[in-house]
Amino acid sequence: MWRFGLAAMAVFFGSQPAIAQQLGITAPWGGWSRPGASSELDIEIPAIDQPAGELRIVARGAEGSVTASVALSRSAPSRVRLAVPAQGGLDIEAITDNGLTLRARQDFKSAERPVLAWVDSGLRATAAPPAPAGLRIEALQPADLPRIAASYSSVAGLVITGSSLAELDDAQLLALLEQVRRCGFVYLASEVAQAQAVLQRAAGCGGRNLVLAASLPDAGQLTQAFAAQWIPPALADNRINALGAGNRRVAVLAAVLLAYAIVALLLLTATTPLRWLLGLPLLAAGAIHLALLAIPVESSLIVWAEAGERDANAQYTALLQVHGAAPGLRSVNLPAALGASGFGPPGNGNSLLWDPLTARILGVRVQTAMLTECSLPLSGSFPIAGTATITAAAGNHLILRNARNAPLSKAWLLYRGRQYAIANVGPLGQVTVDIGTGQQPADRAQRLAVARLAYDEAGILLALDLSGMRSQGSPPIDSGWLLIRQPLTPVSL
Amino acid sequence: MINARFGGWLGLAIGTVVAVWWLAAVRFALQNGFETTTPSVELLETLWLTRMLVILLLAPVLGLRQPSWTGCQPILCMAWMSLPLAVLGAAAAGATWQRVLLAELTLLAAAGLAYAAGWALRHASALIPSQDSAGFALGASLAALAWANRAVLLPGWVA
Repeated sequence: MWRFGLAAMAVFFGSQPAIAQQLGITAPWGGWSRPGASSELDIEIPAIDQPAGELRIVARGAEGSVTASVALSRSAPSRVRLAVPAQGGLDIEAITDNGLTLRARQDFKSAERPVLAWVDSGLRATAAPPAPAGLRIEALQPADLPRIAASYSSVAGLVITGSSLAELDDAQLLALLEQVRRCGFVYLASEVAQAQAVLQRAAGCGGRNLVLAASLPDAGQLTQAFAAQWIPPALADNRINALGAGNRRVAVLAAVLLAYAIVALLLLTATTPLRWLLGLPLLAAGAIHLALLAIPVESSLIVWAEAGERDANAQYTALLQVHGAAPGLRSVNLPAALGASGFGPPGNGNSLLWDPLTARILGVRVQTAMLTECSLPLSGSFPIAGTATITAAAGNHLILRNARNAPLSKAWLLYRGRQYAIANVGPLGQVTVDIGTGQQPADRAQRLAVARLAYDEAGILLALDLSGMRSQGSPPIDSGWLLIRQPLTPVSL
Repeated sequence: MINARFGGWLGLAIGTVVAVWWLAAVRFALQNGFETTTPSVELLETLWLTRMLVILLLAPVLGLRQPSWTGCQPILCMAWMSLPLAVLGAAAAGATWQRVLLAELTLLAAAGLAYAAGWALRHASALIPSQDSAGFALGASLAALAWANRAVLLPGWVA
C-alpha cells in the first residue's frame, strides 16, 4: 500500500511543472535614475519545464505598467529586454500559459547629484575613476551599457574609452549613437581617429556636447567639460507634448458606450415592447451623431519659454493642439502674438492659413476626427524685464531675489534635480532657501524644467499669465511656463 | 427560442466584445503615439462583417420557420443594437454618416435576401425532410461565402 502511495506521489509531483528560480533582473547604470527618466530591464528567464507557449511579462510601478510577451523556451534560459519608466520600484512578473508565475523586483535609486557613467574596459587593471565634487561616478564595463536609447535619460552623461567603444555590440552602439544624436553629454577618450569619427558623424547640436580627448579626464577636467555642456535654447523636440492635458475622449467614449449598454440591458431584461427594443439603438445613434456635430473643435495652446538671467528676450516653444469630434475640415486661429513665429510642419492633411499681405500665420486648417489630434509646433521670442536672480550663500543656502517691482506670488526654485516652492516674495524682496529642504519635482512642468537645467545651473520656474494674449477665435492657452536659467557657482552639498 | 429579445442580447454581446477591443486598441494607440484611425476602421469592418455573418447564418432559418414580420424582428434587433457603436467608430475613423447609413442598408438588404431565401426554401420543403437543418445549411453556406469573399466585401467602403 505505501509503495502505491509513494508511486502516486511521484507521478503527481513529476507531472507538476518544475518550479524554477526567480527571474534575474539587471538594470543599467547600477540602478540609478533621475526624475522623468526611462530605463531598461535585462530580464533573465530560467529554463521552465513546460510545453512551448507564450510567456507574458508584466512590470508594474507607480508610473503604470509595461507588458511584453515572448515565446517560452523550454530547455534553455532566455533573456528579454524591456523599456520601463525608471521611477521608484517595479514589480516584475513572468506568467506562463499554465499560470506558473515568476517574480522579481527592481528598485531604482534617485541620486542627489548628476550621475556620470564611466565606462572603461581596463578599469580593473587601472586606477579607480576620479570623484569630482558634485558629481556621482558610476563605474561600468562595456557589457553593462544599455541597448535601448531611452535608457540614457537616466544618467547625465557618459565617459567612455576607445577600447570600450570597440567592445560594444550593435544594439549598444546604436543606442549610444542615438544618445549622441540627441545632444547627450558624451566624453570619448580615444586616440583612434575612426572611433572619434563614428561619434562625430552622429553628433547632434553641432557636436557641442561631444568631447573628444586622447585620454581619460581627471576630476577637474571632467567637471569643467561637464559644466560646459550646451543645452539648446528652446525645446528642440516634442517634449512640450508632455505638458498637454492629454486626450480625454477615450474616457468619454467609454462612458457613453457604458451608459448605452446599461439602458439596453435594462430594456432587454424588462418586459419591454418591441418598438422600444428597436427604437433605442436608433435613438441613441441619432443622439450621438447630433452630439458629435454639436461638440465644438477643442484646441489648446501650451507655451514653454526659457531665458538666461541677463537675457532681454525669452525664447519660447509653443504647441497648438486641436481635437475634433465629428469628421471634417476645421480652422483654428492663432493668437496674433504668435502669428509671426516660426512653425513646424502641421502634419498629415493639414495646412497653414496665411495672410498673403503680411505673410503672417493666421491659423491652421486641420482634418479632424473624434480621437485624432493635430499638433502645430511654434517658436519665437518675447521680451522680459528683470525677474529674479539666485545666488549661493554660505551654509548650503540659496538666495532668491525678486528683481521686479511687483510681488512674486508663486514660483519654484530648481537646483540639482530638486525643487523648492517659493511664495509671496515682495517687490525687490528676497528669500533664503535651505538646500536640504528640496523636494522631488512634483509635476510635469517641474520635471521638464529640472531636466532642462545644466549641471552648474539653478533655475526659477514661473507660471506665465498669458490670458491677455488670447485673440478672437484663438484657442485658450492651456499652460504657459517661463524657466529662468542661471549659472551658479557650485555649492557644496 | 429565437425571438426579438434573443436578437437584442446577441447584438449587445457582439457590440460589447468589439467595443472593449476597440477601446483598448485606441488607448494603446494614444499611449504609444500611434494614429487611432486604423483601429477605428478595423472596428467598423469587424462590426459590419460579424453582423453580416450572423445575419446570413440566421435569416434563412427564420424565413423558413416564420415568414412574417415577427420572424424578422430578431435579425433587426441584433443588427441595430450596435448602431451607436458604428456611429462612434465612424466619427473616430473619419468616415461620413452617409457611409454608415450605406453600410447599415447593405446589412438590411442582405438580411432581406437571406430571409427570402429561407422563405423560398419553405416552399420547396415538401422535398426536404428536416427544414431546420436545410435552413442552417443554407445559412452556413451563405456565411461561408461571405467569409471567403470578405477581402472583396470589406475594403474601403465601410469606413
